[in-house]
Amino acid sequence: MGLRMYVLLAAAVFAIGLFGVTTRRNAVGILLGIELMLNAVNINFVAFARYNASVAGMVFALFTIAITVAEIAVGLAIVIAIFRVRKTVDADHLDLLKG
Amino acid sequence: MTSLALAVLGLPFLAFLLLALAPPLRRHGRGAALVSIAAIGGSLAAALRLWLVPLEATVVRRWEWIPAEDGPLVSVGLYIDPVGLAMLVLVTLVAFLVQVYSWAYLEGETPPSLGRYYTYQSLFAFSMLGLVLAPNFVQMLIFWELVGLCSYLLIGFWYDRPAAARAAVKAFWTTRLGDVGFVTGIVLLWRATGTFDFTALFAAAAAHRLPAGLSLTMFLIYLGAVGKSAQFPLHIWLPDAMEGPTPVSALIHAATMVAAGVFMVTRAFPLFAATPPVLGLIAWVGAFTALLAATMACVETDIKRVLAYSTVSQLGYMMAAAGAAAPQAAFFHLVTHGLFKALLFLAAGAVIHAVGTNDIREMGRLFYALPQTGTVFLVGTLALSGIWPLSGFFSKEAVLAAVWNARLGVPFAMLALTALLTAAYMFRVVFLAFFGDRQPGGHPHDAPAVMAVPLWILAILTVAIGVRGALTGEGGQSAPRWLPAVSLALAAAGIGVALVTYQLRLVSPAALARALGPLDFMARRRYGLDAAAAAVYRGLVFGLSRLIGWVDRYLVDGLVNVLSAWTLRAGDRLRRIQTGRAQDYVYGIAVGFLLLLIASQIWR
Repeated sequence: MGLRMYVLLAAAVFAIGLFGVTTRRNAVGILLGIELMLNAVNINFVAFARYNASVAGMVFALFTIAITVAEIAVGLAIVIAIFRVRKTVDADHLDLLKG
Repeated sequence: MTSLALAVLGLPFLAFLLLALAPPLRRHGRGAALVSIAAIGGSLAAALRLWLVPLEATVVRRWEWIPAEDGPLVSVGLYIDPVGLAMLVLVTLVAFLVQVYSWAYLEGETPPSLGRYYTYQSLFAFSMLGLVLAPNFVQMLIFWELVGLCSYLLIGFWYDRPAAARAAVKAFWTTRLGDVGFVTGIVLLWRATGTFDFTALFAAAAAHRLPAGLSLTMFLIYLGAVGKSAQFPLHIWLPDAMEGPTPVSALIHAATMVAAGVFMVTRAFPLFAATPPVLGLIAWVGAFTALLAATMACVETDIKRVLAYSTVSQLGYMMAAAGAAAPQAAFFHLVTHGLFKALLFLAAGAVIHAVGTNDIREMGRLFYALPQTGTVFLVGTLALSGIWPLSGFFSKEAVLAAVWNARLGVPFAMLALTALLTAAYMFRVVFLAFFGDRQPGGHPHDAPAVMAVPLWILAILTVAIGVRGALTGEGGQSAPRWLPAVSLALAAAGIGVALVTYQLRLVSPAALARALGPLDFMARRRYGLDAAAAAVYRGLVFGLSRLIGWVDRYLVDGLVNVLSAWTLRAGDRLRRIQTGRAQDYVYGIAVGFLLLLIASQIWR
């Protein structure tokens, strides 16, 4: 398994995550999609770190994981706050930005 | 020399600046009047001082204004020659007397408007003096336009009267029409010769080095004089200009506005002399104007309008003389006419002041009530009619001799007939207003000394120039021997007609009018010229306004409206992209990024 397979895997995971983000109705589902996209990036980081025999990519991956946790915490807090106000987390109904 | 000339020019300008920039002084009225009168008085003294010193040669002083590669393109400066000096004295003298006279004439004005009046007067004097001293066409044009502006301001001095406001606009527009020709002519002349400067142009003319084909150019320049000096067909503004205060009429008719045109023609005469067809035209138009205006003066009943038409008529005389290649005769008549026309206007002002009406039919026997005013008016009338030995006789004869010597038969006949009519209509005014048997209402009395003294000065000067002419012989023109007799006979005949008709009443004016039926009918309607001018003006202005209005409403506004409608519609369409759903935006970003990626692969 060369670098190519890792990159393809990362692309596939990223595409699945993007698909989830754009199509899921549920706000929690969207957050899950974002998580998939971030992890696709992590796969890339780690794969290239191994390929280049450099530790920087792995450090970056660790940072990303830490930030992702924080992001999920904030994201879920926002979802709960929205749910309290709107009584729904359906993304189709959250269109306050409508022009 | 130069500094004296600068003082003549600068004093009225300083007075104007002071009055314009210091509102408390201007609103004081009498204080403003004193400043203005003092300035023009100083100017008069400087002009007299200049005039009394014999001038060896023309003095030209220039300061560079618009620099160019080979010498300045336009300079400003002073051009001092005998004609200019005489004109300076005339302008400052008449302006000074008019300003002194106005002190009493306009005593009923509120202080602010009196201050405004004297501010305009100072600017007017400055403009005219600058025009007289101009050493090139550009400076002349600038002051020429300033003179026009000041006339506009002063004719419309009582701007709350609709008639005065209209008259001011009419004067401005009509003269502007001629000025279009003037500007075009100056530019064409510059293109042909490469200079605006009088000295250079006159030198070229004297050496016959002027380029050929200048006729159109000089005709256009002459158009400027047609407007300013009220020649047919642009004479229509002058009678209407009577709506201004009487001293203003005196100033405009004697020394400033209308004199500017004649002065320009005399000044630029060497150039006109190079184009004989234009000269011929000037003579014919001048003579025709003289006759036309004289007939209209015969049927006017407003004393100031009679004088206005007589000014038009006498301007025709001057132009005819210039056209007959005798600019010195034209200028001589300009000076003498300036003096006695100022006298007549100021005297008429005193009469109006005393009686409270302009209509000569409501006056009568004023000579007994206003002996002083009557006497000076009579002096002015005799001079205007050309009676020996008053100044008008000599200048008029010089004009007639010049026209005769130039072999202009028909213009000469027209001018001779005009001389008869002039005497007739002026004495018609004298007999109706000052003699006759009708008693005017109220208790008219002579004008106060402040008004009377300028009148007497002008009357004495009118007589003095005439007596000097009688003692020293004629001013150079070789007149035919029979001319003095003929011109005196014509004047006497005119006086006789007026005497028989209006004083002795042997012939009733109505019968005379019937005998000259069609002419009377036409003259009373001003030959339809005013109506025609108004119709043309309306047609042009309204037509142009309609066209521009249409373009503005449908093309300019239409374009803007279409653009705004498109913007609105496009905005409305684009608005729908903004769904407010975050997912759609993410989708947009992803698709956009993808497209960019593909594009970067295609056009790498």
